[in-house]
Amino acid sequence: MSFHWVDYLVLLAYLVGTVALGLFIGRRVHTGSDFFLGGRRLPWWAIGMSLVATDIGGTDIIGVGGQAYTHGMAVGNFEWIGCVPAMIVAAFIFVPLFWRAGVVTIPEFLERRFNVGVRTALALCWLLFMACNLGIMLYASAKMMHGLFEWNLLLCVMLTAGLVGIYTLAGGLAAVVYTDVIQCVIMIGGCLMVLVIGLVDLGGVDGLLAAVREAESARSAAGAASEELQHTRLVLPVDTESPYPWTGVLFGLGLILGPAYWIGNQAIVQRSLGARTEFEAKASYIWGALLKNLVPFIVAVPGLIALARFPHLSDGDLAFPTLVSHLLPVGLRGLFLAAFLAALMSSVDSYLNSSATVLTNDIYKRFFRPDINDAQMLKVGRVVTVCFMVWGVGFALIVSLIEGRGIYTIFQTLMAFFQGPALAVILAGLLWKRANGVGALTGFLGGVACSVTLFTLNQESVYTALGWPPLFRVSEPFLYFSIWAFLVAAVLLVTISLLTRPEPESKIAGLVYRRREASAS
Amino acid sequence: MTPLHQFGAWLRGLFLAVPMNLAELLFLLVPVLLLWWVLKLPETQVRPVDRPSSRGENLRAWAALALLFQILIYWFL
Repeated sequence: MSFHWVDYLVLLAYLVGTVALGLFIGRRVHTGSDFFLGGRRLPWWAIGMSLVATDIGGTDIIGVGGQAYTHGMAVGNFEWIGCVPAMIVAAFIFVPLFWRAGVVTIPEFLERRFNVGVRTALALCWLLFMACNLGIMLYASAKMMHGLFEWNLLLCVMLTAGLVGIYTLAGGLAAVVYTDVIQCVIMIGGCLMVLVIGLVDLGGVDGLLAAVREAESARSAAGAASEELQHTRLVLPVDTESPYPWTGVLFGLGLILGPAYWIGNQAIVQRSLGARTEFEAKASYIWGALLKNLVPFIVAVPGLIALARFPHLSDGDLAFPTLVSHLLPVGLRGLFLAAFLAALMSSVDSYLNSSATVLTNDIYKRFFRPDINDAQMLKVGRVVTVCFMVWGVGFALIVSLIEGRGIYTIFQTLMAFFQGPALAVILAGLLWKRANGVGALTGFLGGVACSVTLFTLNQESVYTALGWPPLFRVSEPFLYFSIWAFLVAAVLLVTISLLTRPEPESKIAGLVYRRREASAS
Repeated sequence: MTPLHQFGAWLRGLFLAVPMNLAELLFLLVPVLLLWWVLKLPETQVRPVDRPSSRGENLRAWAALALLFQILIYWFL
């Protein structure tokens, strides 16, 4: 894809604006609370936009468009049934309890509800995942930038880490949230521009649908009959060749992974803990849910437009870039590039800040310096942020030396190992007062053990040696690991909790959801 | 075939037998049930309780709007 100097000027304006805003916000950061929770002064509208921006990474824009090109709109389920219901439930049940408890992290809440064992187990799992994901995101995005724009890979990693690091280090969560607002606007604006220009070019929605049907018919005639008429459908049959059978989407994504992400992911929930009031914390999630309805239209539909315009691309991931290079004039390509970088930076900054938050609060403060004051927390938080930034760059380079895609898959699997069990612990902890610490820890560890066992038994070398067929028919069954791990964790948690002593009423007061309880905002 | 494989095959067969229009109905049912729940939430959970609120500060209405979009999306696509 070629760029004019005007495009680079647009990009430069975006980058300078973002970093300047982050540094400006940094002037108001004086304590650990300012750094980790934005001083609990964040408004709902900024948090809601930050939630959306964090969730959409740079690789997602290209990847979702690519999946829509290849498999159709079913990929939109990840933003719709995978997000909106979970965000609404989180807004009214979980976020208020977290906010009212005044905690900085989800593991901290779980220590209050259960015990230090549950807190540490979850903190270590999330820390491991977020730290590694930092490197993975930097590498995956740099690889994509390298492929699209032919920029040097190392330069891309350093540039992204440096820019994100500067404003995250200076302004902490507030800088992350407010820069995410700019990034959300640019990301939505850039993708909306591609959508509108693409639709106009095809003669509107009717023109698009007709062209997609034509492309599908052409594919069908060429022998790809299984793909026919799937591109505009959201619900696909169990035996679909796409990765989105309705069972996996409804049960795995809608009921397990979506809620686990919006209720239990520290990088997501942390910003709502920094809201000015409980009401604003709830409002931020509702606002985010409203915006989420829009996302597949601006990210996935361009994949269909690409299918209509260029039905013979060798790789679905080329759909968005091909569309941009053919449709957008000089200057607007720069805006799309800015949108891509905005999506990338808004995810990296959140994981950087949240990794530092968990390490500082749940490990350093909890086990080494319980008496640390707020000013010292700020210093430690900043040092840890620098360490994670360096780690992220280093890990990205290590990943680049090994096989990138394989590593990415491994870390997706790692997340699937503990997300289901973590959701079981959080749901039981906040909805069932009889759940206790012993049950929660046993359930969590049992659930993780279940997913690790399933993963091991599904390895070709293992099932071949045992003389078994593979356990799962799909090639990457992360979704199914999550479902089974959740179920095992839930059963263990309930059984052990019922067999052991309940937590005292005084300990769990205010930490368990009661429908008629008055709001404390 | 281990019992695990047999159970998996049984489950797969069970879901394959579900008609697609019923599966589509289940997707529609999620936002519909949530909408019903949201509409029944007590007033204290959908408005700020520490100060008088304006008409726009009603989270029930905005959450219902988000879910109505979901219903329309899963109805038409």
